[in-house]
Amino acid sequence: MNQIIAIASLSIRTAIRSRILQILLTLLMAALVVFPRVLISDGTLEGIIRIMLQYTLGSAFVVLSIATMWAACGSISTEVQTRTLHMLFSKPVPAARVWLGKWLGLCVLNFFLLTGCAAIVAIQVQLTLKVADATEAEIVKREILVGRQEIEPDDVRFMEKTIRSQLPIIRKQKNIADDVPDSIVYRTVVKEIKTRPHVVPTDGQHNWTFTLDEPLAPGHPLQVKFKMASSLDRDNTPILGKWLVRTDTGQSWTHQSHERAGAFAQFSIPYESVTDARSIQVSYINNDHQHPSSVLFNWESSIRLYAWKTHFTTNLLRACTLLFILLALIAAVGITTGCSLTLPVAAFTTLFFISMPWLVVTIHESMSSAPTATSHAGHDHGPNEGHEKGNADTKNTVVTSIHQATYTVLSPVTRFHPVQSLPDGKEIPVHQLLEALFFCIGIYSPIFAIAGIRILNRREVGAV
Amino acid sequence: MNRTQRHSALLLCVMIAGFGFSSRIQTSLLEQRKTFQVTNGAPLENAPPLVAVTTVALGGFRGILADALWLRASRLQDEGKYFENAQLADWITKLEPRFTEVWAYHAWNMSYNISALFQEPETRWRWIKNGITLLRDEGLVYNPGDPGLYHELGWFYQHKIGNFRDRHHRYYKRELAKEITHILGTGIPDYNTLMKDQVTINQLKTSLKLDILQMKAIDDTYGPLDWRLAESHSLYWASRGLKNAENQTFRSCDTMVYQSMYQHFFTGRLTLIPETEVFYQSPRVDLWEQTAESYRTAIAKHPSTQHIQDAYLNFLTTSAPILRLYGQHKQVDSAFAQIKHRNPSRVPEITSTAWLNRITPKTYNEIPMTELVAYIEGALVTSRDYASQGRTLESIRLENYATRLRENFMKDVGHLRIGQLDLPSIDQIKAGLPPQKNPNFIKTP
Repeated sequence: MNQIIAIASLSIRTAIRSRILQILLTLLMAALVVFPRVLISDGTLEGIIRIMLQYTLGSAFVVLSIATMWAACGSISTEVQTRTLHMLFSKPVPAARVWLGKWLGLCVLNFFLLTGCAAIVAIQVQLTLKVADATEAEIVKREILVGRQEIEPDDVRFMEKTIRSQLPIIRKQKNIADDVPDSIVYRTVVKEIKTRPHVVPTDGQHNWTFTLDEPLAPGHPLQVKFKMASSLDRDNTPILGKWLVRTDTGQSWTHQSHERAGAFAQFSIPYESVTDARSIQVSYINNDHQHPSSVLFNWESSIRLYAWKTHFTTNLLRACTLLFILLALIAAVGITTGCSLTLPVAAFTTLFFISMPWLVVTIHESMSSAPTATSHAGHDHGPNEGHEKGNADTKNTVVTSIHQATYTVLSPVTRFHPVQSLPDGKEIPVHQLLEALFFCIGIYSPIFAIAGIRILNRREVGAV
Repeated sequence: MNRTQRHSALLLCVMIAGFGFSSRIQTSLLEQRKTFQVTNGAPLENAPPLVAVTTVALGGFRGILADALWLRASRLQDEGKYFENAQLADWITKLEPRFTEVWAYHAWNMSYNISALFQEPETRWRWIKNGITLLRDEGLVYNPGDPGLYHELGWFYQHKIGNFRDRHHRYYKRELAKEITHILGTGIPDYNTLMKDQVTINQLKTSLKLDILQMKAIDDTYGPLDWRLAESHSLYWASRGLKNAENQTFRSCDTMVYQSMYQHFFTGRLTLIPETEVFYQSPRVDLWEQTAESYRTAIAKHPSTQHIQDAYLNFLTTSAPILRLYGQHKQVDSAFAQIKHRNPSRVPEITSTAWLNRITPKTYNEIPMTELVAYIEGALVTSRDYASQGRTLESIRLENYATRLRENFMKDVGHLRIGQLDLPSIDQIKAGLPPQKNPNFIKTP
């Protein structure tokens, strides 16, 4: 253990002494302090705070990622070049301890830097609020400086499960050929559903059901955010409508809305009206008789509930923890590539490894939006195309399987967006932290550690 | 000196020679860019470090970066997150400072698309100003020679603020009037005093980018104008566009000049009483000659453009009944003569009185909404003049005409959008009537 600690402290010292790292850390400080002062917001306090959170933390993460990557790549490769690593191995210190020591050193450094960043961001937010208008500050505290859970309507949330369970019936009803894979049928159905909006004619009504996983936090109102469209060109005239909220505990509450089409709007449901609810039905009643028209709601994204979950400080700490976990993974990748390559090459290789998950996810998304059951079924093959088609299909299957496997392995890394959640006042749930910890520290980092240690052992650095 | 060192020294010499050569041809290249108008403005000089870095250091990569920012901007806008939009627009335009359409698009997006998504007039006004500021304070700095950008900016004043189509147009007009009053203390400046007041001149320059000499030139040619009105600003920016595009043919700015004058004629007198919330615009019949002249200038510059000539004839026709109501008979005769001269088929063999009687509207739906106050106020002015001459019956008849116009409009249209389309009350208009002159003989409409 002593050896690991000694190596860790040495790697911290080396990192701090590095000229490039010093420049990057200066950049980090500049980003944290200067950015909030030079950025242009929409002129509201809300905008200033949101942009401050988004850009200071975002830029801090970018700078820290580059710094970590550089320091990690250089930690072993520089020692190989300067032959100080030979001394270590001749002690003898096992390669595993060297790798772990280096990684721990960088993690400790990142921990302190991130703590500093979080403190600076929190102080800046507080200072901005202090000099702001009290009413505006109150709105910001309520809307942004919180951790709220975003709740989708049940038909969106459980869409995949529902459709998949009904696939055999859909196949039968639509007379879909057997050679059309389930995945394509599923995608087609989803596409069809998503393009159909909920239409609420005058005097009509539409209901959404929201299932709450946990009881609501006492004293905090539930927020409803929605966006609607109108069948008429209303020249920005607000639409009159009534919102009716009913809970499984028998409580009900109404709200008269007077909102414009095309813009996001929101209202709050008092906690007293939804106490102990586990399921909430939100209904929109179109009662605009002055300008009768149908009101349309996008199937997927027109309505969300926001339930208070945690304080801003907790959310900020969680965001920083997520960033820390991601930086730890970058450090692991960097150290391992640095074991076999010299510094600039190792840094580029690390960059490639880091960007690979996002590349795979982008390819996957573009593949998902490709063919549907209709286009597949509508394709007419010529009589001599059978053999070629067979070969192409085999190739396609192989490529798709490889891609699917890569996607399954790498995509978890891309699920975490701490910098985006914070300015939206969205809660970073604990399970997301555990998930990140499991994938990044529990699976990927050890894989890179094993690879790095094996490379170190094979290079026989000590014998050079 | 070994071989490698010799090679290095040789390469260094080649590099220095290359730099020397490029610095020699750079000046002539820049001159040629100006001469052949490859770019609309002078090459960027003394640009802020951010722009210098983005335009030079990033090289071809700035296109990719700009694309990424465009994508982010549209995604955030779709999600209803506008807080970053001003910043993203700033970055995108800085990455492509010479691409005038980019400036125009982002300014338009903020002033029109985003502002329209908000209910509160304050928020809408903030976004409109964001768009104006982007174009006026930065876009024009990097593209001083592009008349299109001046036209875009003028359009924001003329249409977004000056027109009545936006639900909160009166709020914008009030805010603009407030801003000008705060700086000038009045709407119509006294240049003799103002020219000596360096503080106000600087304030106009820094906060509204208005050049006092240009303002004076405009007032000398077309005015005196009320600078609290959006139309004065659209006229200003259109004139600046024309001035900066001397060697180019750009019809839009000429069009904007006479359109702004047209608006000045019908709505150039602002009655604003903050305490009572009274706010309306009525005609400036004294600007008739200047307005007609602005049309004639545009016709002279673009003789083959038929729509300018049609617009002029329309102005003469629509202004004549107003002129008569305000007792400006000389101008009525002049309008009639000019129509007869330019398009005799419009007034075939009839007298000016017969022609006037034919074109004078009887009900409110024959009158464009922007001219309604002009008819009501004009009728009240004549009614007052008749009353002072002891012609009570005719005076009452005219007042009834004004009241009927207002009431019918309010009953059918105005009550649907209070604050946007409603008209001031007859009493309010009466209280704000222009000072009485010695009226000549006035014919009843």
